[in-house]
Amino acid sequence: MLAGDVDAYGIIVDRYHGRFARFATRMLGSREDAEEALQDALIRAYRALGAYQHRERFAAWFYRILVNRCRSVLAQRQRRRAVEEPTADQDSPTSDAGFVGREQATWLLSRLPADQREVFLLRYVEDLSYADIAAITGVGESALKMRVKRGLEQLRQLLRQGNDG
Amino acid sequence: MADDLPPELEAFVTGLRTTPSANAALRERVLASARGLGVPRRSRLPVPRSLLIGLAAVLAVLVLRRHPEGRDPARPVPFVLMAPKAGRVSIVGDFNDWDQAATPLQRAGEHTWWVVVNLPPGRYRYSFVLDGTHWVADPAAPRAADNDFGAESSVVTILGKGS
Amino acid sequence: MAVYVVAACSVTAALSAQSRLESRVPAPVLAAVGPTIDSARAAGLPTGPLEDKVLEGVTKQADAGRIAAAVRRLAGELAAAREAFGDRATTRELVAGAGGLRAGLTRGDLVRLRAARPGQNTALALEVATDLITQGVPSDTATRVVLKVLGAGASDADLEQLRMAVERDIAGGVPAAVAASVRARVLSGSPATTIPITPRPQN
Repeated sequence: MLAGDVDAYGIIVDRYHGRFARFATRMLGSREDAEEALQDALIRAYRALGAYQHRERFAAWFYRILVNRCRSVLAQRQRRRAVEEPTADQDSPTSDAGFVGREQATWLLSRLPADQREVFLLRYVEDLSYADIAAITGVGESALKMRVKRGLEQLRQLLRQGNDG
Repeated sequence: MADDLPPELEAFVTGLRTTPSANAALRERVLASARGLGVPRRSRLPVPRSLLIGLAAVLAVLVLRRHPEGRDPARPVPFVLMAPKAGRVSIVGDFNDWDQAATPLQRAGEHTWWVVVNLPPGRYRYSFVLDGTHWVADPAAPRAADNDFGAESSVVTILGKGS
Repeated sequence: MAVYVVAACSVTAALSAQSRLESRVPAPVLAAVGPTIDSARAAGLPTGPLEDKVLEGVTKQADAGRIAAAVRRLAGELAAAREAFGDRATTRELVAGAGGLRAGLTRGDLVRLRAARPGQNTALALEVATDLITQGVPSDTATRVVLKVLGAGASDADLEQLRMAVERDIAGGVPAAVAASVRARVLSGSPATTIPITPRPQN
């Protein structure tokens, strides 16, 4: 696909929008922030198409750009002294045992440090291999697995507390 | 496996896998930007609107310029390496973003690998990579003065027209 | 509008550079090199060579710290070359100057080599001097040799011929400094020395 073929890029945007928007929304906990990060990443990726040499899958290549944009948004938030957790963060939303509603899912994810949340989402929601995640994030596989392990432990504990409370 | 999803998190992850509905407005903003129309994006950065308009005006005519002397036509430049034991060889350098997958060499006979790369006039640092792991400078070319990463590179100079 | 076009060019160049790196470079490396590249851009230095250095480091699997150090070093050399050449120097001249400094040329050598070709692109002269040094010619000899042929009105093709001829001579066993001096003498048109041929004894 030529870098200048906007219509072809539109097809790619349509095809991949869902999963990329999903990652950004889960990562940032805010649909508005996710749309900003995704739009930015899609525009940057279009400009970088000349450098995309089909060395890797387009999705993996694009995830790297999107992960960087999400990290920038999170860093901007910190600089504006905004809290990462949603405003109603004191208590977990109530839920029936075994059912995790959207609010609760957002709250649970927000409890994870950003680096654990990132690899958790890429591994279990986006179904990427550790090799792909390592290439996307620049973090070695053993460090990634440690982050996953800690993230899973924290999520299990939070779910247990939510169901007990 | 050590990182299999615990059963109590399966419902949680299933819920996370739902994808948001398509956002037509976002799609149009992306494609408009790609066409160089400079539709202002939602941003918290204090970018003046007039700057965005100016940016849009020049976007359509600007190209990535990595080689300012590249107005002269590119010339075919052969690169040859004797590497009888290699299973695969590629060339990486300033002309292909040091990308191992971009420019593989072909075998000619048992021992020789070669490729022809079209290069505009200029000077380029490069190296050969054998089997993805072994770095080799070109024995037939001058060495690059810098060796920042523990693997030497070579240089090739392509003269401009009228030289 | 002209101001905005210039500003837009800078913003576009910055975004293009970011896109070129973001698609290939892991985030920790980007974070490590970003400040240096931004500073270089703000100082009006070319960032293409810095990006090439980052991509080289990533491909060679260097860690972020090492890549950042290499980028900082190159940025410093580009700045030093611009200080020697002035603001009108082209990107290629700056890169050639940086390479020359790395190889062992002094600031004074850079200034002299540039002055030997006033109004013309001096990148090739710097590059040939650098290549002579990397082949083993002492830096002061390399500068002297290139200045000599430039003084005789050498073209780009002559400079390239000098480099290739010295390379062949060195490969043939001639000491590097000798090879450079002899070739420079030939190319600059110094009178040839006639070697008397002793007739073979007839038996």
